[in-house]
Amino acid sequence: MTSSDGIKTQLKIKDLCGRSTVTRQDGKKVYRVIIKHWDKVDRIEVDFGNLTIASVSFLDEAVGQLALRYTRNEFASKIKLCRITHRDKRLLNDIITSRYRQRRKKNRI
Amino acid sequence: MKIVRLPKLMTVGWSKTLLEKCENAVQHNGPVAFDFANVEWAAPFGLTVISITLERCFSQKQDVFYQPPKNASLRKYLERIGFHYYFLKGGAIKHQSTSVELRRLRAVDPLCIDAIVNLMAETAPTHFSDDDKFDMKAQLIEMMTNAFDHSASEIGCYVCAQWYPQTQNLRVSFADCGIGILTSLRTKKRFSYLRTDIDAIRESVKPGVTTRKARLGGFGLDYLKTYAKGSQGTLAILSGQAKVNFRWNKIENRVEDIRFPGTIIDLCIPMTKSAKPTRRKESDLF
Repeated sequence: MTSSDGIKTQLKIKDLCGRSTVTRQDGKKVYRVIIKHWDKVDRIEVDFGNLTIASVSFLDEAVGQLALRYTRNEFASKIKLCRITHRDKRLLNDIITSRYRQRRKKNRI
Repeated sequence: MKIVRLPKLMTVGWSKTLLEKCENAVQHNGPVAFDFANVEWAAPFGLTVISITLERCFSQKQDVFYQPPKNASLRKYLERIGFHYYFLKGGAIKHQSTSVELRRLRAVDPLCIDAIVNLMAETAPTHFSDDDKFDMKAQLIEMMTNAFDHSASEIGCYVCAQWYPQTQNLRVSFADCGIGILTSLRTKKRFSYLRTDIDAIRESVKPGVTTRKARLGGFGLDYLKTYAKGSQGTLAILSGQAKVNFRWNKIENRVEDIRFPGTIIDLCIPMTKSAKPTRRKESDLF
């Protein structure tokens, strides 16, 4: 499910969520593991196992809303995406961009 | 007995008339007959609205009767699309390649989503790339998760899809009988300033608008609106006493005379061109 050697944590979506990769509740399982390991390791690998997710809610909850918490540099240096389809990657990039835009707007207020 | 004569066209363009008649049926204190005799065309929007209305009548223990349409094609369509299955006895359901039959959902249903996406792929193969399939799947999942996350609808929701080959349009409709968008947003203090259903609908499609704790969420309707605009389609949202059409080139607001106790999302996507391949943007993190 999740393995960690003190330097890197690897978590597998298939093991954490099975085929339930649709709702925000499903995504929360992934988010919780990421947050739990964030300060303990240098890198967190999220292995999508070549699943097609196609769910804005799941991707936003699992990974996207990390953008509300961490800077782009922190995010990009900590998180590595493995075996994610190019379409899910495109969707996730859109979600992250939107979250950073939302964060910038909030900071301006 | 109250006889509710349904309009000629059960489409989102006739929403005012249709919702008025449905509300009159629900408010009637006695048996109701839904008269389809003059109906010539029933789009997914009309079917999901009627389905919700019928459920409301049933929940009030009203006796409900049905007058079939004179139009033979429509009679066959109602049977094919599953209307008979849910609300009338008898009739065999045949899955036709131009529709996904009316379904009642209690949770996000990946099989239903796949059925709608496959419908599109089967009916418009030359214009429907794998990217289009993926995008549509993402949109549909988002529509469903929104409905179940926010509506508080005790009866779940109804969904229906229809492909129109001649106009190359796909129409998908979701309807729930929940609390509506305004009430849902006003459960949170930061949205307490919202006064009208139009304001609530317009607010709900902004990114980051959510009732969830720590504002985590609020992405779905914004994404649907953007997708509809990019495809030169229309996203219509009806909730409470408002209808807002998000067209590709303008937004139309309308105050309805009749309050709908829930939310209807109607998506109309022309499939006349394939999505352009997306290029990596500078802002992409991965």
